[in-house]
Amino acid sequence: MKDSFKQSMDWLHTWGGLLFGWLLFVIFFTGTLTVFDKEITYWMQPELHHLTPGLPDIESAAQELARAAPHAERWWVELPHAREPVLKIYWEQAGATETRLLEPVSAARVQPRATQGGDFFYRFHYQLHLDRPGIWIVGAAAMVMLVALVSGVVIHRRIFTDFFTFRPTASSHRAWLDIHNITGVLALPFHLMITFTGLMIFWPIYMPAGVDVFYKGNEASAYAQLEQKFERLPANVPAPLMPLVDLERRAHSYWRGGTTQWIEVKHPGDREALVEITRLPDDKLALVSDRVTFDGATGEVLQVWKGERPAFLTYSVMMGLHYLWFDKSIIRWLYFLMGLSATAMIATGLRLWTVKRRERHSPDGFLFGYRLVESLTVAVVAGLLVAVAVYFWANRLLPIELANRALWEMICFFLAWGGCALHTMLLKNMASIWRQQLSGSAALFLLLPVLNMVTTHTHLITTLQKGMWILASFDLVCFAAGILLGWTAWRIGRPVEVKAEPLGEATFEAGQT
Amino acid sequence: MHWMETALCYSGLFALCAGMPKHYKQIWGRSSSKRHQLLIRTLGWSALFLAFAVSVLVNGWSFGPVEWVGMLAMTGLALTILLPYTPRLAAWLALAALVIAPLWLLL
Repeated sequence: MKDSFKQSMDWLHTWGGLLFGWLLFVIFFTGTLTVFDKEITYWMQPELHHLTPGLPDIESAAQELARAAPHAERWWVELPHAREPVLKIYWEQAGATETRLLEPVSAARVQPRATQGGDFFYRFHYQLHLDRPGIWIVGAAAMVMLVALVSGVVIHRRIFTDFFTFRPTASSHRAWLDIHNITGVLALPFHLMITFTGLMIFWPIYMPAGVDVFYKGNEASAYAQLEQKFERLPANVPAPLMPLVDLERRAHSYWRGGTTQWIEVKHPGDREALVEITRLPDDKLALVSDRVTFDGATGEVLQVWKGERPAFLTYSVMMGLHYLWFDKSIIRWLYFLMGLSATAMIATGLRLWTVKRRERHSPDGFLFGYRLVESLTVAVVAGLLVAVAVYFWANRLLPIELANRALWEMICFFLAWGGCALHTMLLKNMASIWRQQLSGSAALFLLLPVLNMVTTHTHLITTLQKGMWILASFDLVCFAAGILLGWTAWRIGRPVEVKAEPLGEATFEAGQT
Repeated sequence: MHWMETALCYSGLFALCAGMPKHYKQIWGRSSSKRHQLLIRTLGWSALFLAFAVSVLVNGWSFGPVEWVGMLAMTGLALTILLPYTPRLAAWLALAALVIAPLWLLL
């Protein structure tokens, strides 16, 4: 009975993992990049590199809004913070939203090059740039990920005795399986947490019954009640707006320290105007933004909201764990590394599928199915790495005035990826396809800091000297990625030399009984 | 203090690893006694608990456990990758980390 259970779990893990593995690799890799989404965006807009985060000029931002959109339905001011040193204003008029970036201290307008930046990866990892159908596909993949994680633990033969076991010089299959196991088991709490919380974010989409019954399927009103936002209709009687800077200062007295993230003005210039000041949730695990709502015309406090109800707080902790809004750089780096660990687990899992079957059959009689699986694996794994590097290259090389520039960066990304897919079909020898694409991505990442040096003034030499760590880290990580990928390319192309080693299977079995 | 947590996680996991007969043999080339193994493992668990305490002390109850779990995963991965290539270096690192860890209290 136990054996048959394990066998069926093995079957589930193998086939579920194979079918969704390619998709999961893309989701986890772009998700891992999203850990540093704001830093990536910052790197991709060199026009903002000279900005220094200082005390933001809220009043000038408000004046700018009053000039640009006096009749807008809503205004927003997003204040700069450590990860994003720019003052942003938005307004909504007749259903459309417009954005303008300002220098924090002087409130002068800045116009960086058009790019999606890190948002591109952020959107990719939860909806594949397909909107709602994409969210459904990613949700299905996340469910399979949970199933694969649990079934993986069940079929792991010696999860405790092999906890620290890695045998790089053993047979190819053994070595890949070891990497698959250690990257999976050591960071297992993270893998489970990130997958589960990721699913929970879209509860109204994946489990719509509650919203259907109680809110007639209207998600927005469900969220409005959860967040208890204070709303009212405009009176259509003009009245001057209280100075935002005073209201912002008064909001601070309701918080224990902290900074403001957002100022939202509903119906600006109306007698019923509302000003909502939201606190930056950068110092707590729960993604709950404390809020103070003022009457825009009189300055009276209408609502102080802290979101402390137990169910909402539980949900917010799950969101906080996934969104990583808190400003803890060590945890951020650990998330990045554990995300890479999950990505490596998925990639090695995909590779194992073919390695295992190739060992079982003769290498010459390679069947079409195996060939297809391996081609897809190379195209997805190595191809995505090349595409990401090309995306960064395009950011530096495309002319700044190019129309639809942000779109062109994405087109370059997909062209590179498609090119890699085509490349896997053209060549015959699988090992050399792996080698070529991995060395290609290695070269692109290694040379990225050099390209940055040629095209911008904020290159590694300056950034290291001036202590601009966000920019320096980006270049250094690219450099490290280049070296790691180059090494992998070199290693993957070599025929496996199986050594008779002292730590063979036999010694292991004897040791544990 | 974060470094102290890293050091304690690494040496704690190393001790748990060295407390397993096959890895003890891998590192020092000879087998160990049952009592010896138990001692090393106890040391290992204590270091990990200490690391947890340090993490909670530094980061508070909400972030402390998160950082500790991440730190365990990543030091564990580093140790596991290091082990087959240079088992002795992995051992020396653990010892060095254990010795240096308290020094961060002074900083």
